Amino acid sequence: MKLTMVIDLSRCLGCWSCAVGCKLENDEPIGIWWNRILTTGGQEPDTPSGDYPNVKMTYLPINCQHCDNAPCVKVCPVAALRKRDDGIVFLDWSRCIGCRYCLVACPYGIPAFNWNPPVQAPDNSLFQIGNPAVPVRPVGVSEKCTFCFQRVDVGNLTPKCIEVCPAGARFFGDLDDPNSQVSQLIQTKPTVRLREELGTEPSVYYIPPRNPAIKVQVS
Amino acid sequence: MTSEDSILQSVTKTGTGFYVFVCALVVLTCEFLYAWYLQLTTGLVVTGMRSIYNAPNYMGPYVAGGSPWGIYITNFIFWIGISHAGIAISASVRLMDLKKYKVVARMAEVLTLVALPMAGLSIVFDQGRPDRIINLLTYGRFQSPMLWDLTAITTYFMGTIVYLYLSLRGDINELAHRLPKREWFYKRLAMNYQGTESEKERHNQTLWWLALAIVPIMVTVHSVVSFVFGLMIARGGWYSTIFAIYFVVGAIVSGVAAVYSLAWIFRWLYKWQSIITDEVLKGVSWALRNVLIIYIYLWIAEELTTRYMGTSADLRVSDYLWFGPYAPIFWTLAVVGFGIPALILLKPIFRKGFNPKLTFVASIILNVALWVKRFSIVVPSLLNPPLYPTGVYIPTPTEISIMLGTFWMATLLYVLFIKLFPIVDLDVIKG
Repeated sequence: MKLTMVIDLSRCLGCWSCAVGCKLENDEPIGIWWNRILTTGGQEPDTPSGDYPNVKMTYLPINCQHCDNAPCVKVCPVAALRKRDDGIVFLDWSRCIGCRYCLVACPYGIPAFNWNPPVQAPDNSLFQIGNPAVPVRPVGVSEKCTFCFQRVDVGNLTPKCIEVCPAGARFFGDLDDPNSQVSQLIQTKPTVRLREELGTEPSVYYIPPRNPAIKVQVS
Repeated sequence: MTSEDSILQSVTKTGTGFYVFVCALVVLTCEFLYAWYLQLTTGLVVTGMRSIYNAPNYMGPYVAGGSPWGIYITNFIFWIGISHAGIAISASVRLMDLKKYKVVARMAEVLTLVALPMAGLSIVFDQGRPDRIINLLTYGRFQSPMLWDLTAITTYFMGTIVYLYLSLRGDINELAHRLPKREWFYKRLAMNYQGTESEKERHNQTLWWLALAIVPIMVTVHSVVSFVFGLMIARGGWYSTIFAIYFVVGAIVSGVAAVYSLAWIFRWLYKWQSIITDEVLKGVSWALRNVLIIYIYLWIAEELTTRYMGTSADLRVSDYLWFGPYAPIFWTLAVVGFGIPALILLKPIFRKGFNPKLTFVASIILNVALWVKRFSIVVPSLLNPPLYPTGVYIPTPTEISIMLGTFWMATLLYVLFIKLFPIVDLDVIKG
């Protein structure tokens, strides 16, 4: 069993549905996003690259890459970050000492830290929004994407971001199964993984965009 | 006044200046404690550190990401560097039998003793969950460089305590005879030491072997501190073989500079010109000069490697330092922080005459410069994560108060030590 995600960048709209769905499912506090959508153009969100009028825009949705050779698992001094047999890298909030070495070591800038006591919006005390299977995290620990293991383990569901993506850009499945959707995609389409040269062996594959999502040509 | 009485005046005589100084330190320490209390109760949000990625703000101005590590980690590296000098100098003096420099051996040892807990505390300040620090022992994994740090530093600390106690034991016994008022204290601390020849012989032998063990530990301690960064391929500017050597040499520079500063301060304070002679200070400054030149050489080699054909991540960090927002810090550091002290220390080669006061200024500049240098190693790499936009890191006043707290406490501990024990080995004066 090797859980893998494939993201088709040609299909990504940059709508942030995956990020919002993830945030609700996992009860992420204000200021923390396990799923982010970066643009290739610049620092601000939704920034196209190139000079006007020859601009193009591509999105890069990025969540934990669940590396086989994960730098965060390597550096964690208390083994709060562990890798499961099915490939999921998860963080044990009850053990984390908050040294933030994972934030420093991750080549993808994924782990986020609870700098203040976590605040959910809307307030979690009024009614439960997230999945009750996700424990409440304390102040002073790191957190990151878990491939929604609370969903994957129970009832064979896919992670929330797969379910909510309106463009069907995200796929999830077992890479060891040659008939699974992800295996088929990886076999038939060109795929890249982020910063592959570092040897981290990520479990998230990207299908590069055929056409940039937005292309403006003004004569 | 005999030279022994002169040495003991730090223990026996206490003026108004001392009380004023200690009171000032206590007030500053209280201020630090309040800042730490704030951090413990509200979380690390009181610091300027932030995660690599910050959520986009569609309603307002763009919010940049931040640096997950900041001045606490800088301070940790700094204190480890300072701690280097102590036992290292003392152990080399013993191993190579450099009798002349034995007068500065003890001040160096005590420096290690106060610096190491400060390094440990800096790490505690940096933890999000200091209450779970015990997890390092119960769940510790040796795959993490942080565990290497923990092991090396605690070993070094234990070695230092034993070494200092054994070298101090004769003097404690001596003080028990000289100061009848405090006899109860010294007598207990000396643990039945009689001061016979065979005892002295055995102590010297043990200390020699301990010194032999401590020198490699000292190299290890700073190497593993460098591995915390040098093994991280994720960021630009860190992943390099030179890092361990670079850090060890940097630590020796800051350590020797600190010992020089201390020796000069004691000489000026207690008028010990005949005990800590110009000759001794000159020797220490020569050692400082040589390690400083090696450090500058390693630094240039590192910069050249990056600038000539660095990876895009390395070059991004380097550009940030050379031409970006950190350029004022970087170039001031290079010219004022290292250039001027190097010129001061090199001067005696070309022109005769050694100026202890000017060298003291150089040694102080060097220590400040090395603190900033560590900052410029840690923070710019974290502010320029590949895939993400450049972040911003501005330390908050609370964070700075906590960081400075280690300096007040270290000074306080040092001052208390010199009130209880002679800061120069009495045996050395006897000859």
